[in-house]
Amino acid sequence: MSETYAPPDQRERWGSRLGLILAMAGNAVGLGNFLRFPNQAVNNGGGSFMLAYFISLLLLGIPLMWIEWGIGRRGGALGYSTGPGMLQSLTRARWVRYAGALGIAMPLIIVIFYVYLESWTLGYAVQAVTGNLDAGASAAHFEEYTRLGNGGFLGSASLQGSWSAYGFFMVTALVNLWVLSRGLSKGIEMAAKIGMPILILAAVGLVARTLTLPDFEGRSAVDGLAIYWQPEWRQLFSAGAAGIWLAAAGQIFFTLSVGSGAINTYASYLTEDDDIALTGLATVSTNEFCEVILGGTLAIPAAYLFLGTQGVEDAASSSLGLAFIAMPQVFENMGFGSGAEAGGLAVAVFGGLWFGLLFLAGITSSLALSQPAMAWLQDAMGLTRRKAALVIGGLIILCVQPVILLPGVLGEFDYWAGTFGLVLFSTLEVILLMWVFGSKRAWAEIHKGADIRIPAVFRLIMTWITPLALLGMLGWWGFTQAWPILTLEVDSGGGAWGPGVLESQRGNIMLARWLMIGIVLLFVVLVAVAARRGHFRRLEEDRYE
Amino acid sequence: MNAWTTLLLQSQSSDPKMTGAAWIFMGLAWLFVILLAVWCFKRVLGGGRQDR
Repeated sequence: MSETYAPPDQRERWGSRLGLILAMAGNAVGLGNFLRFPNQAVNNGGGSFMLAYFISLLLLGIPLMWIEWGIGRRGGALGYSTGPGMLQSLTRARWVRYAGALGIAMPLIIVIFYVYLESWTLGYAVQAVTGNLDAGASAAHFEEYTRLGNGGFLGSASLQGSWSAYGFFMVTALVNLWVLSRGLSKGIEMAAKIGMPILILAAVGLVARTLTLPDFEGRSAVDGLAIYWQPEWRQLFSAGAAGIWLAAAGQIFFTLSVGSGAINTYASYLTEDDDIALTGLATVSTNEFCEVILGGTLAIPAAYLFLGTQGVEDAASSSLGLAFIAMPQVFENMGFGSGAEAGGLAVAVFGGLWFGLLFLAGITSSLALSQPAMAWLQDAMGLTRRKAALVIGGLIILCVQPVILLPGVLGEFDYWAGTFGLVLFSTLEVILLMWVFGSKRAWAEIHKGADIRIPAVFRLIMTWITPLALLGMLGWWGFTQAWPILTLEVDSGGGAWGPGVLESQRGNIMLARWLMIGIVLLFVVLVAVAARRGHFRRLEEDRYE
Repeated sequence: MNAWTTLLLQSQSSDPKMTGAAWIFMGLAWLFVILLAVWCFKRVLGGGRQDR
């Protein structure tokens, strides 16, 4: 039997520490920072949400970042870039290598629908710049653009818009694959070094314009900030505030990209004595700057200024509606003059900046989400980088078809892989590292080569509070939501189905579930195949002790 | 939209205003985020280990 793993000294490496931070920040800074964050904040009590958000950041987000960086770097030092080998290195129990397959399958499932959403931002950026974005009728424009699965593409009611969306998806997928095929340093790191500064500059420009806009119908953009900066301590500790805490914790997971397996894989390309304590914290700080300061000061204040409180309520009812319907209407009013010409120019400039920055935020995240599967195919299956990229591309393009064509599939993927799965995998990681591997060894592991000393209180948090909070979230979900959602009594948001929605989508939802199970099982089988080929032999020889 | 948001929006009627408490809360949050980022990057870039 031949060993197929890449020995540590032959592994790909990051070119520079700054490049690593930008790539990790690019992984974390995504559509969630600019769309999901304002949407969640406004829909979950504003100031109360923000308080719960910062507490969740300290108790869940930052500890989980260090835990994932620690597991990832340790795995990489042993020659493993993905969940199966990394988790196996923490315990002798063999089942964990199969559980580790979640760390490859889940990010792949997320990237399948994420690339499709990302392609909308590219399509809209091009349409804004070329004057083809109808801001005055943005709701109708959005419906036409995305009606692929609702009679447009299949029913040929609106082929032009549908083909346009389909074309932009293919372009987006091919750009992703091209970058991935160039490898870690020349592909992913280079994309982050170019994309992240442009993203931040574009966001700063939009924030500056938003905050300096003149009052409109007696409203100011600055007052729009009050929607989520009015502190409400009492609400936070009252009965029935569980929803706010869960929403805040969920946003921390989503925004930092913890629990997906992507951070582990990126961290595996470090050497054993590279710092992770400071570098991990720098990644968190970059993400929070982009989310709290830039993301929080863009969409909602601008929407409040031009659309009023009712407009904010309507816009924030859906993060996609906020991005693609409300914001074009806002941009039309952000010009430096009046009249149709000024409005058109404003949509081109600010719409181009907005959708362009969303595209950059999206692509740096989708590259990270694709990398675990890329790394697995290279390290465990022995494929070359180019062949691995082709396989991943084929899988994405194949599996995205039901996401595009069948209503309900995208939401199901998002819920199980992009929400529930993150909490599940994080729980597994924190228990394995802090309890099975041991908190003392874990603490020493995280501090290897560290440029800073992490305050000792975080060891307590990582050992007790983080796992208990995660188990509490899973327990609460299992007790209150698991059965009704599994049996389709309620939708994945826990609410009642809209009229006729369940009847029309039941088949699609079941197809989505079977597809996800199939993808997970595929990687479980591949783990078994790799095990037979000696992929885990290094760990079984006890040298890792 | 949950009950708290409805209450919040009702309490603000149609005209939310940045109160003193809101300015302090936002100021502290922004300060925390900015100082954390500056401290981290100052140490990262000044550490002399950024290029391998």
